[in-house]
Amino acid sequence: MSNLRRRWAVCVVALVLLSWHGAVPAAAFPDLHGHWARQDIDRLAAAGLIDGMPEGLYQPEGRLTRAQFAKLMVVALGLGPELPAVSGLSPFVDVPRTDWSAPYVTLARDTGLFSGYGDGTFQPHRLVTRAEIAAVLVRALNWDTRGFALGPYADRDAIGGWAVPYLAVATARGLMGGYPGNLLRPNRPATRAEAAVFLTRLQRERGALYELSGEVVVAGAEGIAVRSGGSVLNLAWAPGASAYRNGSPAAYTSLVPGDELLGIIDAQGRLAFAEAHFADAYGRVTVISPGERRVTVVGPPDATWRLAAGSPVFRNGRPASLEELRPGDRAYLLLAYHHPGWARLLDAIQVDLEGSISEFSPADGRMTVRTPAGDTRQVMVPANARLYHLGAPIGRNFLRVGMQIVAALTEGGTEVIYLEARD
Amino acid sequence: MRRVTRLLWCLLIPLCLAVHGNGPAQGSVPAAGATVAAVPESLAPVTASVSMSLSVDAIAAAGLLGEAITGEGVIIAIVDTGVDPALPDLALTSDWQTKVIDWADFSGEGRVDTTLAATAFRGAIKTPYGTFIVGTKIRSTSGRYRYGLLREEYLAPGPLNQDMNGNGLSGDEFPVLLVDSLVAGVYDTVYVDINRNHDFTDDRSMGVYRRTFNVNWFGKPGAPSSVAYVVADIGEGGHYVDIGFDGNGHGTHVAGIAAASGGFRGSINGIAPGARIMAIKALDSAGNGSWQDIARAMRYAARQGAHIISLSVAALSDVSAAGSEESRLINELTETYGCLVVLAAGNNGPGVATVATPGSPVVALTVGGYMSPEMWLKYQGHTAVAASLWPSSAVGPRADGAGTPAVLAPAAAVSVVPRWLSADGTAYYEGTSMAVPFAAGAAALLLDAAHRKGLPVTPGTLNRALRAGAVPLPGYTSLEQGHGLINVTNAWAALQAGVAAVGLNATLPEAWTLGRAGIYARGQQPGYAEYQVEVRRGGVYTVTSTVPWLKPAVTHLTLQPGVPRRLGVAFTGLTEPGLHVGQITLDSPDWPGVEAELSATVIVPHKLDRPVSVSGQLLPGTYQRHFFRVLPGAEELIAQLAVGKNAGGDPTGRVRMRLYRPDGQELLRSDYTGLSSGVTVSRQLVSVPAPGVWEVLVEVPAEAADLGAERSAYVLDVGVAGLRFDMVEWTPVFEGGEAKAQLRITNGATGRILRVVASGLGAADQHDLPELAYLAPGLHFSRTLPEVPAGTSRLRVAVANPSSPGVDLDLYLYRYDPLTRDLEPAGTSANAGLSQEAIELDSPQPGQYVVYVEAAGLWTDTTFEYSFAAYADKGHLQLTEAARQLRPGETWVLSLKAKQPAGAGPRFGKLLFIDTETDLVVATLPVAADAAGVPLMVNLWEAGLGPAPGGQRLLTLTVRDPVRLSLVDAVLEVNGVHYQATGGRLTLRAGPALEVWARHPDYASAYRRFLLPADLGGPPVPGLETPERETILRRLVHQLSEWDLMKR
Repeated sequence: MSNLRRRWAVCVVALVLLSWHGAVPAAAFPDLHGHWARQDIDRLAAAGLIDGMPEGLYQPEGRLTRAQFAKLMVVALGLGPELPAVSGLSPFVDVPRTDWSAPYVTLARDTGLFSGYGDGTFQPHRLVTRAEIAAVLVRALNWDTRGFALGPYADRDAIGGWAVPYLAVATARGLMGGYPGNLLRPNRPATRAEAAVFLTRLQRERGALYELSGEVVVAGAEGIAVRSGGSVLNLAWAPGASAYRNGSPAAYTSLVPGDELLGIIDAQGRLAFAEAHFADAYGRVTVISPGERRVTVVGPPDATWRLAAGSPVFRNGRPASLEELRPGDRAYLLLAYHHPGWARLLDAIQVDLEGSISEFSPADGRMTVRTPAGDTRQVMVPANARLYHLGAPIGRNFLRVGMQIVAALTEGGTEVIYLEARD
Repeated sequence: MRRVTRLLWCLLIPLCLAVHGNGPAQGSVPAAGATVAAVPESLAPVTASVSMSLSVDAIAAAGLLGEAITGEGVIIAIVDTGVDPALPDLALTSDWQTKVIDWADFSGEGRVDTTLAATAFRGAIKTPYGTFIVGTKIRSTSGRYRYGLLREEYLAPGPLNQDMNGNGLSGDEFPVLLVDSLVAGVYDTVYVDINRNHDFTDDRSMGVYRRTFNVNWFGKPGAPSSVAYVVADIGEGGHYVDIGFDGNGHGTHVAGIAAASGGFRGSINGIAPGARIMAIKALDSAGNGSWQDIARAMRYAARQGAHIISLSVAALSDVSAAGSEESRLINELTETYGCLVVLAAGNNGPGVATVATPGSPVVALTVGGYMSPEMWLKYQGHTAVAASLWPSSAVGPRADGAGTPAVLAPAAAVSVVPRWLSADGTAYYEGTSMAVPFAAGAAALLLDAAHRKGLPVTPGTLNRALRAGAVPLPGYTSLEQGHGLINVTNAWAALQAGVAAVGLNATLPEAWTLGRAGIYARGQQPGYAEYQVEVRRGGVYTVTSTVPWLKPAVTHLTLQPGVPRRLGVAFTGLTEPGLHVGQITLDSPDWPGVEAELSATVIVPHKLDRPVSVSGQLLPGTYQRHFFRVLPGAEELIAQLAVGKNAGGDPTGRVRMRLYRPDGQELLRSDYTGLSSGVTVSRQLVSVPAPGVWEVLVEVPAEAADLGAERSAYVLDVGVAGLRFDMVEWTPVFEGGEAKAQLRITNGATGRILRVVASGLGAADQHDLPELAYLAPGLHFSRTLPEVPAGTSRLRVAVANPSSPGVDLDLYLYRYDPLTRDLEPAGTSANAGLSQEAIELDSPQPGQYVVYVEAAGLWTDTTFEYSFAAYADKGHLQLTEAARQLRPGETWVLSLKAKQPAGAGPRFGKLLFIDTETDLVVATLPVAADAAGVPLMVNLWEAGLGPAPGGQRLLTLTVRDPVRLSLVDAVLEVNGVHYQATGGRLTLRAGPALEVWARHPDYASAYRRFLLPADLGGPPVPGLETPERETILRRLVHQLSEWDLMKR
């Protein structure tokens, strides 16, 4: 594994330097370009939960019939493998046994998502309303409707009595939002885009949005290596896979090592959808409590972060423990985007000396540094000191007069432990 | 010593054979319930007709009988010990047809070899047994008179005492002559020289019963001591004759219950006096038979047109799984021949999981035993006992989780028996054996009624109607009583209303370990499972649960005939210790009533990390179950039962306890304590109890009512002594081919020096459950051990826990020496007065070993536990410390290390804790590991969300093939709860910490830990642009490789 890592180290440098550019893959459906629900729809399409219309479009502003919505739900709940077992059956008088929707409607009714109407009909061609969707989602999640009161929506009188408890819990738990003007529009047929958003929220509640979570090790046009659960997975991109970075469509190669990655793996074991996030923080350490793994950093932003168990910690370029940190250290943190308040890597530098090299003797390592205040300091750079130049490890012979440096020194302040240099 | 071993060797050979033949050993099938119960002498004897009317009332058969429905035209096959063919009660049906229409023997007990033949010379034949007169009337067309001997000594010992002619001797031999009276070579007529006067001319000529209905007697016709017999069969070519008789009484008794008709000089009517009987003997005079014989008997009966097969045998198979050979046969007979098979639940109840009957739980009708208040009163003299289960009726679920029995029927009756057995030709028997013919007779009545009404009936609808009509008894679960007591009136109503047999077939997947035909979790916690459900009759079924803790994933199942569908069930909130029984019911509006039930049994045991005390109050004739988890390391299980006392210190009730092992077998039972016992506390000790969930059943006898105890209060204290481990089993989690763990061992017994020895990891599992063996006075027990291979590090044989108190068991081990071809002593453990013995050999010589157990001073039958283990250390397990002196209560933290074995598949091992003073193993800790196969890949779907209220939320897990990444339907154990993945996925409620084991027969198991971060509510993540970010990231890539190296 470590061999592999070293190889990537090389790769990564190359990638970071060279390949920030690449083609952004097209949306799963051409009519979604720039649409507000594009990411949700792409994600559902990657998970195989939605199809487009026959022309290859999604028609986000189109409406859904009850039968179409039943199909969406059956597929989303993983009941697809049951479909052949109910082909040719229909529990409702107005759903012909031979209709494409019959098996979906049958399974939706078996699962208790829909119960149909008192007269034995399903009304498959009626457009599904927001209230109906709320009821179905709440049933799918087995949520208890007791103990929730419906908010004071302006149009609450328009809500059918049967739907009130469902809408109450759906709005209270964030499954459904209102419209401007304090409107819920319960009887409005949902658009296909809205349906995709509701479905996304359903899957989110079921914890079934992404299978893969990890960190990008290296991303290429053909595939991606992801560190997940202590091992590294090498996955090929599925045809037409979509990638997002920090909320925007992104090229496969624009995913950066260290990015947090959430993904959907398709049935063939390929990556069908990737959502990368990158967030970091930078500042000076003020308070450390190693027992709780908490570190307070003066910003931007000023904040206290908690370091997740097992996360790497470095001080002065070397693996370290939190106990070794000192107030005043310069800290860089990789943050856990999906878990506010958590960090997943901490890099600390004890900044004892800043300035530019005014003299340096490669033979014995003697170095004179001129600080911004105009003072000069003489220090030794031992052969085993950890030195970096623009992020790349260097030997002390590489140091040149005029380089800007930041350095950590030994206790007596005479020797360099760690040094960063730039030109 | 040499002489002794020779003697033993002689003794051993017949014993080994006996395993397959008779004797209550493995593989044999005893009749279920020839229990002759002790009836108080003061009690007025109950006549057969009173007895039968009690039962007719109990099962509400009077209504149909009153309408002159008698079972006419219905054929019931009694597969049993045979039926006495000469009893008046079994002579004719109520409409004056011959009652017993066929008599066949598959037991081989009455088979006479007639391969020898002689020619007649001057009216006599010469044979090795002497010269016999055949006269001129007995003519063989071919001139070849076949002959043989029926030898009493070949009969099985039983109530007949191997004495066919009642002369008090069991060594008589009866010459049998066989002739072809009409067509040369077609042998058709048999003469038995009953009076052994070497003259066949004074003996009756007999044809095969099914063609001639000839009956004859050994002895004076009709005399009380005479055994009636028939010619059951004549072999093709005349090579044998089967002499058919009931040498036990069980079969006759059962036949009488089902279909006696007293109208013709008889005394009683059975349930279906109009029904006809096929007497099919498959059990010998001792009541034993083999499954092969029974299977042939049942197949024969079905082919010959039996409508109902009544099979009153116990313990048909050890493995009662729905896919067994027995089950396939029963399903086939039902489908191909339209035959309803009625089976006995068994007589080793009422512990949970004591039932062991074959057949799809839907197809076969398994009957448990019932006692009405009137039956308690009339048969046993107990007043004020509520309607109850017959006390020893076996209880479900079956080992495969199937919900059995189906129904209850009276388990006690006075019915007809052969006259040689009882002077008045009747006897009182108890058992689920008796319940079977009651149910069979009831089915015959329903068939008859349906025929008369022109209602089409199948075995399935008949079966379903009996269930639908059954009346549940209050206070019992479906495991004990199924649908309840048979009620013929209700069943007839159900049949008329159109009750349907939908042919449900429900199974759980192979990877699911808690039951295959139903869910049976004994101590394990189920979370989610999926039945595969299939029916013959499609429709929309409403799916409901009978209990709140069992939730179906669907509200309806729309089913097409023969097309399986999945039915998920989730379990929630099962924490209360005790037995939890629930059912998922399937109900279609197309037919009356519920069409099918799926059974789920969950046992939540008390933990025994400290002694547990439970108490209760019981009515007479009732019981309470308590369950306790015994962990590995336990050296003793101690149960103490105290009966409630009044202020004066006198007992106010009468109780006893019965201890059932984790496999449901009863190990020990205490004497009664309390009223009329002289004691108020009883104690039971189990040495080296098998790890698992034990049942301690506290019961109050029916006679407590007579002693004035309306309620019997009790306190039950249960605890364990021995070593306490902080794990149930070590399952090493390998990283880089190595696994480490720490085992905390607390000494909960006396101080001693313990030595630890590792064994494994090998491919064969070392089961912890000892065999429950049986020993009778004057007999011994022996076992030939499986070949002990070279490299065995330790061999252990042990006996313990005799059911009969104070039995002194002695244990001997012999090794077969191939050079001297003799058994040489290899070890002896024969401590005077001790019932617990063990022999352990370090590095035993490989080869064949024989164990021999005898009991000194044994005056009654006893069971005991026999265990055998051969350990082999393959060097995979390593310990830091081999021995330690431990004071009482002292804890020892032992570091364990395991190397991953090569290959693939599961591997097993043991840590043996040996007391250095006795050099005996006192406790073992099982180790279960996976060899170095590629483990399954388990992913937790990252919700990208904060946590849900209460720290738990819905989470999704995926299991994939590690190479192809395809989805795998594994069983997932998440935080100790068992779930089944569907389509490789599982959505469950859990968090924040998840310990996941994924298991599937085709893969190495996978272990993963997930920790969901708590929501810290920190600042929103900034979209910061650090000027130096690029440089820092580049450096971090370099540093991370070092971080990984350091972690290695």
